[in-house]
Amino acid sequence: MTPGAEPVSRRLVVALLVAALVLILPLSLLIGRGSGGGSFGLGSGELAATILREIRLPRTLLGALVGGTLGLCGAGLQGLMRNPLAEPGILGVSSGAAFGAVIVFYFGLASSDSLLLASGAVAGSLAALAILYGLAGRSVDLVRLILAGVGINALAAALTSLALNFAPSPYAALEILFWMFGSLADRSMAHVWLMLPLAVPGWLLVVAAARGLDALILGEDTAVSLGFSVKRTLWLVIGGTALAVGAAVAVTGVVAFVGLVVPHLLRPWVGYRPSQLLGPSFVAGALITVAADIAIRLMPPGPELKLGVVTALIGAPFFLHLVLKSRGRLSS
Amino acid sequence: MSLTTDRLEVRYGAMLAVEPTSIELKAGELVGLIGPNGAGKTSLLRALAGIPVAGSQVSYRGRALSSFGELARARTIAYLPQSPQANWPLSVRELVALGRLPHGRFGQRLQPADHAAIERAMEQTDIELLADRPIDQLSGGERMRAHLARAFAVDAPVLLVDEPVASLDPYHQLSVMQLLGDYCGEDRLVIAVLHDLNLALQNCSRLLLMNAGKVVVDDAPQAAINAATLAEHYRIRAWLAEHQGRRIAVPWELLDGDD
Repeated sequence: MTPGAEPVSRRLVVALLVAALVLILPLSLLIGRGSGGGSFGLGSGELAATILREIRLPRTLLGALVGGTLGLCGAGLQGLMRNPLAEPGILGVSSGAAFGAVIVFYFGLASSDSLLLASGAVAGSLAALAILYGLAGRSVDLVRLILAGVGINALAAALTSLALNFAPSPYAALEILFWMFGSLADRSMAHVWLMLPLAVPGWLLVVAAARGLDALILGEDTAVSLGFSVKRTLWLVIGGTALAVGAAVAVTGVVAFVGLVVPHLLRPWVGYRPSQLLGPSFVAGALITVAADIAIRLMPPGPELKLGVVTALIGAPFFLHLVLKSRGRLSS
Repeated sequence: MSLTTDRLEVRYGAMLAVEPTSIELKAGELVGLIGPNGAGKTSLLRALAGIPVAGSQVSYRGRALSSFGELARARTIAYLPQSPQANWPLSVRELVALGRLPHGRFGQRLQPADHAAIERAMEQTDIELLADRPIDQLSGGERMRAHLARAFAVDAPVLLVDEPVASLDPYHQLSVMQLLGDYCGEDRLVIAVLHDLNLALQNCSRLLLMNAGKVVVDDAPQAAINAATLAEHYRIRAWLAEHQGRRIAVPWELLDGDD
């Protein structure tokens, strides 16, 4: 039996994903940097409670929230563009947010856990969205939208490089770089509370587009004839992604390719309809990100590998593989 | 039941694609929308489907279509575009189920009525055996029937189809026309853009002949397609004959007129 042919397999896969997430969250709480043996690297008593509450709990929660956001938004954008190569980063929202944060860094206005830096990142994602709207807002032409995203990405990269180029000190440059590689290390509950008020409305907007995304499978005219305005679907997904991914980048930096890989892996199992893909993509995105972060913590002591570096190392070849596979289809 | 247009016009910028058109279409009619390329057939059909175009004034049962909610309008008028697309390799059943979108609500599973409509649409179009096949693995004729089933599943009193038989072999052309005839036999209105004059002559109950953005002939098929209208609007001479009491028109040669 081919995967995805039966709704039973979808329910089973979703149940397994949820179960795996439920299991991995406490596991993530128990595993620390270089931990081993019965104490799980916690020490005992008061100290253990503090480590759990102050370090591992926020790290685990952020991993799940950021990963879930990226999976959900990736599935939403792929549905919107009807293209398995779409990714939250492709519209320039991530790089816009990263640039916003870099600017705050550059002028030495804030440290990595401050509200100011987070607002810089959200402002960056909103600026990217504003430019996007200026370039492609009146049209519902998705190719135009993707091209606008490519342009915004290039602009944000150029400006970020400029900031790096003129970084006031090697330390500032290093700080900018390290922050641009997304990481979950040294985050606190403050970051969680920073992210949630923006991310939750973002999720809801994307989820609200579910039926419109299903209708879009049949093309834009047919979607309209089925009662779903393409423009509304477009801005639900884009607006929701800007909010949620902006908030995620604000607290963890750029974690690339989770949004690309997750929906792609799930599609054969849960079906091709975006409405069926959104929820599982959130769960699987959370699962993969938390798992990757556990793997990072289990590595031998030394400079910690950044989460964003790991996802890029796995995701970029995957992206190239997808491009190769779809080469014939894209050129036709 | 009637679908009427009151001075409906379609503009693309400064270009008037459809000049003000007032027509009344009734249930039980299989209306063929014919005419040369660029006559405005597709523009008129899209306007009737409620796809936003400037200046469209369409009424259903005397009520302006623009005052319908989007989903209510979608439940009233189903639309199948020219060369319909499916962007992901859904199974045939999933594709047909998309026709039920206007009937559902957010987060709601398919209801028994939805399943009934889906099964019925697949039965009408004879694709039940293909139900679990991915749409991209079907032949052209099978795929067209699947898309037609998707449009049937909307279960709307009005069905608009744009060149449903283009790129189909003769068997599937006749079978699609028959399916459209059956659909409108249930006291529903079907409007089909057609290029094949003989399919239009033999299957439609009424023909609208468009040319240069205007409905220039609105008549029974035998009256709408004759030597004079073919010469004037299609700029061709056709071989006209009768078979089993019905007219046949075989396009034969160009009439060189103004160019």
